[in-house]
Amino acid sequence: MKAISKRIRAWSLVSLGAVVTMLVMSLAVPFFTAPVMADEATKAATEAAPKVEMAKDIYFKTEGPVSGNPAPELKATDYPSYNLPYPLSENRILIWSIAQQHLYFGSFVLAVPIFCMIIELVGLLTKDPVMSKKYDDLAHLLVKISLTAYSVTAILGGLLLFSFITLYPDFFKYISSLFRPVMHIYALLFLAESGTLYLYYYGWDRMTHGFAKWVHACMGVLLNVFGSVLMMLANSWASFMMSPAGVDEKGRYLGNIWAILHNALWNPLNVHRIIGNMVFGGGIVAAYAAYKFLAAKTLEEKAYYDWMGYIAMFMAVGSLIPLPFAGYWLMREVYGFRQQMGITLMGGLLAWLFIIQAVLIGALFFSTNYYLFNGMERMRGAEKYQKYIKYILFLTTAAFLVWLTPHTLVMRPAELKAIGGQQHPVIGNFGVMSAKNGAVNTMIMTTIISFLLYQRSNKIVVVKWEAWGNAALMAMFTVALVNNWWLAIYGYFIPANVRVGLSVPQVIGTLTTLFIGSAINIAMMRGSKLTGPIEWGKISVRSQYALFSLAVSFTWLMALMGYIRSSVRLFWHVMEVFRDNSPWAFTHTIGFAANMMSVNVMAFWLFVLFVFWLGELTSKHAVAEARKEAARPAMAGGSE
Amino acid sequence: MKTVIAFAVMLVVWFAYFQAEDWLFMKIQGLDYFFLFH
Repeated sequence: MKAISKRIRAWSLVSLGAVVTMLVMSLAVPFFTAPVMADEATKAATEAAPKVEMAKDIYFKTEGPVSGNPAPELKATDYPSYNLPYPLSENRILIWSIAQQHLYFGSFVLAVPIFCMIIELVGLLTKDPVMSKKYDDLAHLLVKISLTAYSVTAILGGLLLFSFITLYPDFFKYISSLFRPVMHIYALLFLAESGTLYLYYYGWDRMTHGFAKWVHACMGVLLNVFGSVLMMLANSWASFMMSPAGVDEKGRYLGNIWAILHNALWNPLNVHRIIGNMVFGGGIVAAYAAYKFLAAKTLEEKAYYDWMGYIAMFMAVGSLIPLPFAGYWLMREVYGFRQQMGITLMGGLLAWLFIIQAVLIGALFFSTNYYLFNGMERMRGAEKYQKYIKYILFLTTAAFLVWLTPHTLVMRPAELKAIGGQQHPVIGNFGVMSAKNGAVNTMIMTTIISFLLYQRSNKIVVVKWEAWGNAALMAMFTVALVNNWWLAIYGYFIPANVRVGLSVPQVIGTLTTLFIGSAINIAMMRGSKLTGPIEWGKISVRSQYALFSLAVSFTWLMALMGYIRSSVRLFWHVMEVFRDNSPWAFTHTIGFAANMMSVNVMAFWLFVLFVFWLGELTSKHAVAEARKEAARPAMAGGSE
Repeated sequence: MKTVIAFAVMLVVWFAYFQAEDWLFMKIQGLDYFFLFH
């Protein structure tokens, strides 16, 4: 036994060493490539010493030696396309579909390891051995689901790369000339991530106890480091196209790779996408659990998948709460970079799509609250809180209506007349950002209230300070909501720069209710009496459809916002630097774009069902094997 | 009665807390929370 544990310990250390080497290797690449890039710059400078050309960075406004070619000026004939029927005759439609599918799967395989890392750690820290094993098995199952998705992501990535090279050769040549070392680091990191993922998955049953298990958990952390850095590098290409930096006004590279990478929208996009990935991944896993719940034959299976759906939903909603704040920051930076771009998005050509976004975000919050209200059915004693549901629903609905009220729309004369002008005389006032901030913070706070009530549903509070605790919670939410509405109204009476600043105390106020509310609630439940255990599996079928609604709404939302982010560049490949002169460099109608998004969503879910079905095949095989093994008569005199 | 008193006290406490929070996070941004009241 001792020899085995020694071997496992050595094996764990070798695995960890391999992973750390991969990490160091990929991080060392910039130190090798930076001198190369610098050498080229100095070579260019010394060879033509008397006439080295300096140019000004388009964004950072610093001087730098011109080290690259200008962005090409293309003609319509420079875009080789297939002679397919419309709309496939447009290259961008092909790129749009492939990129969207690649992003969906990439997002999923980045989010799942985050959950695995958290759930495995929760399992490690849980003292109850049965629950600890349950968490660990769930994390293992999640990696298994993501393994197939990982291959699909890589295949779609390859397809996207070939599509760029063949359909947009000049564009790709220009972009890859700027991001050359970044693209190599990306490929190496991909190798490191694959290696870590395989070690993580196949080492799961080997590294089950003590030191080896902690090494395994550390590999989960490293897997996420690789995944996050990978995503950030890829984000820099998309954000460079929106907000170029590190080049001059002709698009010539100025010798500083960090300036290109660290452009204006890079970090807001990084933060928004990491959080968005987690909501998306949680939604997919919750949908998987709902699908298994609905197909389950026994109460035991129902209980397991109900619990799994709850955990996934908990993760998704935990990320959904800060997501609007990250989105607000991203849009704030878009306005900061180029005001006209912000206006095109929210007050011009693409404004209708932002209204659709508001409806979908409302659907996410409604689905979440509906699931939590239904989840109370699992607990005896929840009846005392169910009377508050109607008030929570009323507040959420009122906030939702303010949230989706449009400000400026492109309208026909008859519509203008019916509304009474460009803005409705009364509810037109809700069309501004000050009102939206008040509304979204209200929706987030009502969701937090639902969550706190859900936590208390099967408990009887016994602490002596119960009256003060309840008063503190009720007063906190009352004052926080009123304060939030006050800030929203105050914004109408002050100049824009002060008004935009008010969004920060609004966010902080909402986060205060989340953290202090949870802390008071947990403190109050110390030593509480249970009215009964949570009866997993005893939940309405409707609640599972709420999980589907959550997942599909979010998939739609990603398609919608991805389109908005790309199409805001209008007729530029790289904003104001590299013009798109393809025959199809016009903006699609909103109807066409919406249909494309829906086709992409449908295609993705068919893909996902295929992945689920594959997972089903292996688990059925395992179950059949286990049953066969159990049915085998024990050998007389055998060791059993 | 105890509940009503507790709730009233807490309302005052939280009102002061949130107003201070609003002022502080505007101050951090270099903005004046009481812009309209000068």
